[in-house]
Amino acid sequence: MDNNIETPMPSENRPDKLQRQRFQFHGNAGEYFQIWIVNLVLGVITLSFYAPWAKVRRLRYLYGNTALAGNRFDFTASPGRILIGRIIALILFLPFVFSSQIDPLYVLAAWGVLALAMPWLIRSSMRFLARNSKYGNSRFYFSASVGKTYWVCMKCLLVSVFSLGLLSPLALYWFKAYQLNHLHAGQLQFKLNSGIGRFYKALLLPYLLAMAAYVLMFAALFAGNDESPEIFALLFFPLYLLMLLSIVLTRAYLFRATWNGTQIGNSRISTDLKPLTYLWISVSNVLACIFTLGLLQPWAFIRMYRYKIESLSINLSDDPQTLENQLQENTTALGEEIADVFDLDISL
Amino acid sequence: MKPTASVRYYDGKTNTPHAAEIYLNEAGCLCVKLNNGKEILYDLAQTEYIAAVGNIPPALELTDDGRIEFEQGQPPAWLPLKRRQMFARIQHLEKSWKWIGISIIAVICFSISLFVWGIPAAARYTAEHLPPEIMRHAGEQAEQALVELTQPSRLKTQRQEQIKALYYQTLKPDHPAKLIFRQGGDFFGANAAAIPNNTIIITDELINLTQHDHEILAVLAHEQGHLIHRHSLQQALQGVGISIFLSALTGDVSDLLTTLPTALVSAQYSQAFELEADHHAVAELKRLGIPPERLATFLNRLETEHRHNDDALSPLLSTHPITSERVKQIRQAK
Repeated sequence: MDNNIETPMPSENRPDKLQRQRFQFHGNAGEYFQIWIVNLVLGVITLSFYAPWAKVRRLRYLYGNTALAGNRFDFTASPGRILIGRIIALILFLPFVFSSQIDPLYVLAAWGVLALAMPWLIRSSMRFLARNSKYGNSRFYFSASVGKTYWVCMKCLLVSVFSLGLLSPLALYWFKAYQLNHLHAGQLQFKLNSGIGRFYKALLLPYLLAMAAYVLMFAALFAGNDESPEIFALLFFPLYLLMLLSIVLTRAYLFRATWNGTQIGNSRISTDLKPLTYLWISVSNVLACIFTLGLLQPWAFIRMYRYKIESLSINLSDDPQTLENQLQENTTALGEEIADVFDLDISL
Repeated sequence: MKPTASVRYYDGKTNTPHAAEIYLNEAGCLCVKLNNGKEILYDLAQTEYIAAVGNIPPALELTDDGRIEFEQGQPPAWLPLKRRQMFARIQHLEKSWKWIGISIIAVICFSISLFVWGIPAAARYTAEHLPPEIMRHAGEQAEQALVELTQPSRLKTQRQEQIKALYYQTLKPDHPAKLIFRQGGDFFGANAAAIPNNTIIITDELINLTQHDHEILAVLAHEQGHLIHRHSLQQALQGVGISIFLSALTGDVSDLLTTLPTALVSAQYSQAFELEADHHAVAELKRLGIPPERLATFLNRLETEHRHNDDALSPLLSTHPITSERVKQIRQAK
């Protein structure tokens, strides 16, 4: 009677043959807005004690509406546990806050402690995020050891500092590789294949753009020094904007370099994200947020999230239905939720 | 007859969903019955209820990493679940446009009051209660920067002593500041500044522009007002508060992009500080039996002198309010 168990759910299309599948997003800005505004109000009313629930509902909405090959994602963290973790973290860090009020020297000490704890925090929040993310019913898993994390962080820091930033694309590549190569979905492991060259290419164009802006700005500074300081003021804002735009462009190129070179198991991920479209969405989003005093923020967020997600596709070589769930122990959850209080954004 | 419900069940080992029925047995345990007749028992207290969000169905995370998804949108009413009531209320709020409307208005009112009253009040409270040591460090850096941007004063020592006497003996502030004379040059011009390490810098150009010692006294009293209210610190704290608030409001928007509105808003804020410092100066002048009009006259002269530097962006970008407004306040105070 084993046949009966195998009856698949008919609700969504299952891929008949292994093929190219596009990521889909089924959410909409209206629903997300409702969740966002209720989160905001309940957060204010409860003096931010509601924040863990807000976070879980927000992420669950995003993940749950993201689908691939008939399976959806989910975010399963327990808000109650996050709250306990945050309270403990707060108690641990209050002494630092208070002592830094007494003598500015303690601020340095607090930053030092935070810097030392940073790799541990990064690893913890990667583990937390992975363990609480599901595809269908297979959990993700982040396998990097503490030692490996400290080694990678130190390597990246040293290389960036001692090359005066020239090798920072290399450091970024190492860090992305660390993030992806230790990520598992079920029994399948992610692998970053894009070479260092692609990361350099991704950073070069926006970098040159920013450099041009710098040079022009200094030229304007010297040209306008003697008689007309107005020239400098006139040029400053457009050039400042140009520099901001190059930062946004960098993100788009990095997204492409990362996801066009990533595979999971035997399946290759690819993206057709266009940096200029990404730039347009970012800029118009910021303008929309400013002119509506933040009210369009949920709309802007969904717009960008949808564009990024739907730009992704995967050339399936493994059947997602055969993913196995790796049972993960949950006992260290508290320590990892402490990392959550800092809300490290190390998104992939 | 036991109530049952059909659900989608994952066994926690593979990614394949199974159709199943659930019910509570006599002991109150959750029983999952698969189509092939196999039954699995779970302790309901150990499960984690994940409420529905938007169109995403509610789920029950089970102890062995198994999962139950309720396809009907709501778990069956007979199933006792942790925090079910709370989640039901939250969902009700999120679905009701009436509550959404009220929420929007509440958030707007809250944001505006935070902007207009909350952040300035918090900045003022913090500025007034911070120990002076913290301000000294920041002030010393500002003082150094200003000294580097200006040249040594060319005022005669005798004149400097006269002005010092005006400040220390005539005005006689409770916490006298250090008085520094500098030549403003192209950059600073006719100007005076109050720095948080209890220092007042005044330029030769400004003193040359005055036509009466009472005017110098008025300027010094104005700067003393800035010091008393710790305006520079308040300004900095407000900037911090506004950046935090704006980044919370705009979410993932790059921090750099939000600094522009911050600059605009803090420029507006410091206009209030100028008016407050004027207010202090008027009170001091009255105490000394000097007509407050002296300050107004001098401000007008200062503005005529500065006119050519004004551009179209003021008063939005300028940190000083339109002089006419300040003059009006001073004259009304009489």
